[in-house]
Amino acid sequence: MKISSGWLPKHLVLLTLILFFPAFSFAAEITGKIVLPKYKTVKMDNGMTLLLLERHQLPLVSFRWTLKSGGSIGDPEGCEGLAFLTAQLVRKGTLSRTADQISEALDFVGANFHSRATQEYSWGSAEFLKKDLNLAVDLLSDMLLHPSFPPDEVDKMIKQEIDGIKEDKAVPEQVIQYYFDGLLFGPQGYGRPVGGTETTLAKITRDQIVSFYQAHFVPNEFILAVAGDFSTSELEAALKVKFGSLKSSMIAPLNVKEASSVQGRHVLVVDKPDSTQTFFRLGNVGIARTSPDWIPVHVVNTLFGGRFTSMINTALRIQSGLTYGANSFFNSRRTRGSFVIASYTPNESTERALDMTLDVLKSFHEKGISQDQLQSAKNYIKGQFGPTIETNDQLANLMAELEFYGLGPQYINSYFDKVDALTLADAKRIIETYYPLNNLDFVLIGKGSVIEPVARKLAGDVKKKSITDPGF
Amino acid sequence: MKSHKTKCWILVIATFLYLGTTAQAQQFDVKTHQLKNGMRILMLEDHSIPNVALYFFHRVGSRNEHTGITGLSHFFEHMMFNGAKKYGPGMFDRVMEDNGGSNNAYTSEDLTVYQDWFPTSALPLIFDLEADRTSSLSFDPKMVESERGVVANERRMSVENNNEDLLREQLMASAFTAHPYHWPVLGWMVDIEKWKREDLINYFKTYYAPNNCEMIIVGDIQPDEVIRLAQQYLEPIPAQEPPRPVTTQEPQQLGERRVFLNKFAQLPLLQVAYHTPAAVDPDFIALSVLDYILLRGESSRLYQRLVDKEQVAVSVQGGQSEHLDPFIFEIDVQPRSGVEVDRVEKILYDELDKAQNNLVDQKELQKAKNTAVADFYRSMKTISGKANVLGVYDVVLGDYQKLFKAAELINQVTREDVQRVAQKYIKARNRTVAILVPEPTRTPEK
Repeated sequence: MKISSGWLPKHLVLLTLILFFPAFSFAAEITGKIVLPKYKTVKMDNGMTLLLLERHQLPLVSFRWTLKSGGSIGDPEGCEGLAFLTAQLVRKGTLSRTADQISEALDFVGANFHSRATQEYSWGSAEFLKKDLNLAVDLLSDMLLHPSFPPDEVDKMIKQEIDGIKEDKAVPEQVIQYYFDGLLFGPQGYGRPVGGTETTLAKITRDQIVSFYQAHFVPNEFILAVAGDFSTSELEAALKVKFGSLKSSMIAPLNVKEASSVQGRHVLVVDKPDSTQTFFRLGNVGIARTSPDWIPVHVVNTLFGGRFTSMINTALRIQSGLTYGANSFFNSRRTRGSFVIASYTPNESTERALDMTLDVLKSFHEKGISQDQLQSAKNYIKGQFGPTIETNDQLANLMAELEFYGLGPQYINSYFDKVDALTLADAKRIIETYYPLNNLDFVLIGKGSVIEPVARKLAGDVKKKSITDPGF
Repeated sequence: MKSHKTKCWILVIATFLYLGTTAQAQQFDVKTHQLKNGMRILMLEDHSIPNVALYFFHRVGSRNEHTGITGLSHFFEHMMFNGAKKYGPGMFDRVMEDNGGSNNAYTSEDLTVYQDWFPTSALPLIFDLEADRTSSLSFDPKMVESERGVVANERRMSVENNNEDLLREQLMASAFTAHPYHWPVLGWMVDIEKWKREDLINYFKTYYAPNNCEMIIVGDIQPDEVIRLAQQYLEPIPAQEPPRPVTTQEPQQLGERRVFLNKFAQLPLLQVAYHTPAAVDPDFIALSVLDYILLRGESSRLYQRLVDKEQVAVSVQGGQSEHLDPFIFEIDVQPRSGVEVDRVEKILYDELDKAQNNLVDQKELQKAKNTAVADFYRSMKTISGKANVLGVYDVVLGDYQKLFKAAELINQVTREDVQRVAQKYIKARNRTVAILVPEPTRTPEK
């Protein structure tokens, strides 16, 4: 953006990202480097971590908080959805503001605010105009430190969430990963649905929410990342005043026992009788976010299922027209998350699409990848990286992610080097280690009468559910 | 849940593009250029990342179709990725991704927009790729058949397995009787199955001519270099006779229309549409403000009443969107389980009546304007966002410079304006209602 006087930033903290192209011939190497803008890390006396990144391109400020102890893996058994409800309810009333007053205050200044839980942590984000920064700090600290969980708001949200699950189940793409995680990890750890189920939500009480909040929302588990148009020293002081009052408290870290890969093949069929398509996912336990193999896996997966011309999308969509899209991904978690291949296809081509998926996987093992393909994947990752760290919210999220996984800014600064360092031999090892051929879990959502016979050909172990059954 | 980018999303352009503040918007130093073949170019330098967003806005969408070829604009969008003279089948995507770029496209009722995102140094290559497909696209019969399957799957995925979209088709088909907004952007399945190769060839010649297209480029560029490349690669593509204008206007609606869809579902759905004017109409701005008052944020009137206070809905969304011809103001409600749709409707209309019967509170009006300004900033956060805003303003509203006046116009909207447009458009005789009635496909096993 051309910035004329009057809106000129005081000091530009620009992202340094320089790319060079020697030529445009096939897969010419993109060289260059990436350096994250410097940001300040503050450890407060009560253990809370602040990450502050000044950027003055637009008069906006983005906040992102991550509560390390707020993951749904900490939900008591049978109370799945507790962390999720707690995180969502912080905006529904505080000791000094009603839910309506909070919404009114946010909307009046055109701010946005979201808070959620994931399996590993609770998190939230907010975006304010620069001129409303004081209000931002006031509102955020009020919601995070003094939520009152009004009984009527708790009751309302639980009912809404239960209906929300029913609404989501009308769209298989919205819910299929819950079924897949449930099958893959079982009733422990990452197998439990973050948002709960129709039955677990109904059992959760306000007392449980209050207890969960009191036990888990402690400053030493909080990361608050802020990026945008502010003064670091002023914001740091303001945040210390507001959040410094919170007393630290020791809490057992949320640890999930590292899952082992599943052996053999297992299928879950979810009957949705009106479906004209079969939605499917297959895979196994994947890789931990902190593994040194994460970047190599990302490069290799770009070729297998991480972009439009990937092998899986080429076979299922581009060459055969069996689907509108097919991809593969590794879910990032501190311990091994899931590896998933995902697509959907008309009822009548279910068997063909699944066979083709398995063929592509087999061919990936047999033929591997070429030097040109490897170079292409590296170029793609580097060429597409800029737009992933373009905005304040992206940078705030990235800082919080690096902090949560203990990776630090160096992880990004050496990112391109690690991408470049990958060899064909490394790629071969990655394929053999992380792309299982025979040991696979499958979830198929669709018209039961059509997909059950297909499921029986995939594996001896076939479980069945109806989409209207509570849970996943 | 992580999702993979899949090519060509049908997009209804959101309202937020319309709003801004004069002071900031005027900072944009947009350069323009017109090629001899009629293609208009808008350029905006932004060196914050070493990347470029290049958008081609073709003035063609489902609005330009007719019975028998519904969905052809969208299908054509797919064909643009399937090979041309220099870069054969699959090469457009492969060469682009090999060199660090990615792309997508969307089709709306009014437009087909192609988007390329790439590192700056790939600029000449991207021009070569774009010029190749725009000048000499191939229509290989086998490719046409394969892509027909992809599009049919896209329709199954996004409409037949998505109750909201399926119901919306019925809503639009009922609200529009004469105007081509009657049919869905994806087209009817019977038409998808029957397009002929000749239909595609004719379409390409008419609607993909350079004089029917506008190029928007934002990012780490030098305008002089862009003009030079455009002259080299795009200018040789010959202009064509301009397409026949769409002249059909939807006749005035004379009474409420209701349509029902019986389908397997756990919960019903309610969609309500009111005919509203085209984006260039002066009333559009006041309607946008009404949209903010009714639907934006958890303090908005409809969220407060339906979701929060009466608790008859899980969610409510919708609003106004820019179109070349008069379109609709839409309200979609997901009722709570056990709540009769009748009751939701009564409460909804009662709330809408208030906007007609009473002047909006001054503070509430200010809130709508403030949110609009913040949304304006948000739409400018990325080079892609800027490219899209500039394109929508220039093509749908007729001039990108209107972007710089939008804030002034928004700030001029009065309480009386809001009440007047509510009375004029949000009324029963101008309303179409679509309801999904859940039905079990079998007796529950107990």
